[in-house]
Amino acid sequence: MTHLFQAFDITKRFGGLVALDKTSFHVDEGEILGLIGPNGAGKSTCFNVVTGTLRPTSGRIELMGQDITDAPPFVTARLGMARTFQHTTVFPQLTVRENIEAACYLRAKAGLAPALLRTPGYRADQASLDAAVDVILRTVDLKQVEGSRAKGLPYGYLRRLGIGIALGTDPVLLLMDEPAAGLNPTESLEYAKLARRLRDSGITIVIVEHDMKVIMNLCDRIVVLNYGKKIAEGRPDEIRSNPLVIESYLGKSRDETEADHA
Amino acid sequence: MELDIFLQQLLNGLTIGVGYALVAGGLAAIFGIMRIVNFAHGEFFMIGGYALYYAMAVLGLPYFAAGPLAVLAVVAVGYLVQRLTIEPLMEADPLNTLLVTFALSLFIFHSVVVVAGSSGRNIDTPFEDVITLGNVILTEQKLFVMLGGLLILGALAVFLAYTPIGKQMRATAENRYAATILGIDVRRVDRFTFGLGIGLAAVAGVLIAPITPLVPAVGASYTLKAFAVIVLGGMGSIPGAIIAGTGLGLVEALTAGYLSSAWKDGVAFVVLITVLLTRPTGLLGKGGAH
Amino acid sequence: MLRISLALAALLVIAVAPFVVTDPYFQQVMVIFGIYAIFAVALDILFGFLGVHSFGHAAFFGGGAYVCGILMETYGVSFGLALVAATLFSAVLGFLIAIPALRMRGIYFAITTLFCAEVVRLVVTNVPDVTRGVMGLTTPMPSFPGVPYGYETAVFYYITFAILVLACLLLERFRVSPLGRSFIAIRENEQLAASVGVPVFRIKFYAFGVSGGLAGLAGAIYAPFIGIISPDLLSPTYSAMGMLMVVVGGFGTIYGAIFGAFMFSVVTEFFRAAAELRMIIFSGILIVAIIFMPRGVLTPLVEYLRRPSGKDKAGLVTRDEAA
Repeated sequence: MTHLFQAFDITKRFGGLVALDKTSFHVDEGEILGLIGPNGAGKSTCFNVVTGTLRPTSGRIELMGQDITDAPPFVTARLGMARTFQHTTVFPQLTVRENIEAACYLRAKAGLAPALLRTPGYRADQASLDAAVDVILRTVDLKQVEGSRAKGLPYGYLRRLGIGIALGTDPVLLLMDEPAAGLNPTESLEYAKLARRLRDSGITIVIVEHDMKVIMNLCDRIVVLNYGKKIAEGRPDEIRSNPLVIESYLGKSRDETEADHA
Repeated sequence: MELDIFLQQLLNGLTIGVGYALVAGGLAAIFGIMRIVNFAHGEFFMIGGYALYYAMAVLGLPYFAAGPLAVLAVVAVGYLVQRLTIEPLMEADPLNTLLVTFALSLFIFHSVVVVAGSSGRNIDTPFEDVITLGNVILTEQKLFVMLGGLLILGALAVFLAYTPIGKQMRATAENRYAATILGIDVRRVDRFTFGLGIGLAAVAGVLIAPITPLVPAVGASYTLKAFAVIVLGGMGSIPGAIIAGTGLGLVEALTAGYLSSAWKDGVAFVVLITVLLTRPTGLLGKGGAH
Repeated sequence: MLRISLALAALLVIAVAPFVVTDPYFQQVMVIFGIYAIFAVALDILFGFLGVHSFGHAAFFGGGAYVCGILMETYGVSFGLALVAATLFSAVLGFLIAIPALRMRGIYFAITTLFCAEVVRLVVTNVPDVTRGVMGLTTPMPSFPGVPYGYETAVFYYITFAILVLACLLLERFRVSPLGRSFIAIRENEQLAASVGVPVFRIKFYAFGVSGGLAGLAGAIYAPFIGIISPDLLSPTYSAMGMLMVVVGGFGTIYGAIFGAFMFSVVTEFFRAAAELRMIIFSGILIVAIIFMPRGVLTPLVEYLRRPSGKDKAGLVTRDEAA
């Protein structure tokens, strides 16, 4: 059976340092996959390679059977893969609604000429876009602040807006980089609810996360990285009892300085 | 005979090259330490020349008194400019300093046009005699430019290597943030750096003005050349700027001698764009700003 | 509704202005204003909407002026055809400059665009057989069939403002379209824009062509209107003039660019006695504006005027624009 997403032996070197060493994993349709590991395990590198921000030194990446190893982010987005960023990455000067509208680039069907001429086709396209933006705003629960400029919004709102922007691409696969970082416990719970809702609406999700609590409660399956290598893979309960995983998390302080270079 | 022409062009090129090295060295210092791009840099070269002219023609001072006075006057202007327009923007978007120095260059240029007119000025120095070596002709002023320029560049190297403020400047260039942690007063370093950079441009102006037609437009021309030079030398590298500056002077002179003097200004542009496309960190530098 | 009434009022003012202002000198000033406004709007496409800071836009303005001038003077081409040719030329020049420049970032980009413009100036200066070099190129006044002698300025006026109005209308429609939103997304955060599928490089590349072409069109009207052009038209002064208009008016707003052009052309005419001081005054204003009002003179004012209607109202205004 083919998987929705597959990474084969991806390796990433920075000079002499191997940040990612022949890592393979896959994502199946409809699941929430967690990618975890202690600080410096290669999670961020893995995320950036998978999303096309970095090019792997070697290895192959496939999305729905299509080779996307060297595809830049704007191409992978077109193919149905969206991402969120680690920090609050939004369009600061635009309003919340405009942020989502700007993210709906791929949904717009009418071209330049219809937009300039305001053809009926363009108006219809606009109306359906407006509706799509409304749906996204409700999904991430930001409808009530749609007219506010993104710049001054509270942190939790910005995280949700970041997810809303990724949803603008109408993704099949959504990768989230440390989505729970900096959230308080209530917000974390809300986030987990949102992630499940998105999965139920048909979006496959990959979460890169440092926080074990969020991961264990949310994910269907977990891949554990350490020193750029995959050391375990399985259901949350399997991972929880895996001696290698326990050791990598408990023993991390010893090697922290070394790992931090990654 | 062929050799004579070649030697002649070589000497001409060295003279202009020393001028480029001084102007670009100052620009490199400002970029390397303050991380700002000074689009008005050549204008300070130009007002250095005009300050010299007025000190000699109006105040009646001899060249050796007028020169240092002109440099001091330009440095004073540069200090004011830095305090009033650049220091307030050090924390702002780099685009703002880019725009401000661009506006400054126009401000200075048009002020000089209004005050001095756009026609050329001639400056007479004590070094009007001509030295002939076989068929190669060298004016005394050119010799003075080369020797004076080299002396100043040597002094600059010693200054950066051994004086406390020179060491602070190098530390700030290396890592601005770390420098603050080490207790270096970065603001003071910035003010000093800008003054020094402007000073180098003004020195070049005082040296070169007597051997070139002094017109207001010469400032913009030197700005562009200095940019080509620091890109070549690796942004922010002072030794790189000096080597590349001298090199550009030589290549321009040879182009003027063997191809066409009208197109010699194009050399800098062609070289710059080629380097930017192939080696964005410069020919000599190991890294610049991203 | 307010926007539509404002637009209609502006159109009315534009239409009747030549009948009210009959002094030939002031009519000329109005044409210059229109030409500068087109230039400023062209630059604002890159500067304000896309966050691409071209420091060499004089190349397009001057390039368009020279193509138009040479075609009309040397080859006797008609004004209309010369306008089209100049626009196309500058658009192609925009693509050519975009290829190296867009591979650079930040200051390298600024320097590259500045230098590309200098290359164009150098070429124009050094091929006097074609361009008359530093002597300057005279450009004949076009013949407008059916227009009595002495009314050419009025014709120029209507041509200029028709182009300006059309450009503004199209740009405004573009701005609120999905494609226009992605333009602004690129300005706001390039990496994020790419992550939602916006082809950043391609959009910047096309924008360079469009912006260059429009700036060239402005230059092409300028050449025969002024009658003589010199390589100065390609100098950084003119690039700076464009930036000045955009910055003083406020980035990324069409009205800001036009306001900047108005300040630069019409308002300075009140200091006509101090014509030589114009650039000094304006570079001084630019310096002060960047330090104290980095968002322009007009933008904070407009936002202040919109504010009383409240936050949510601001959102609704945006939706009106989108509809």
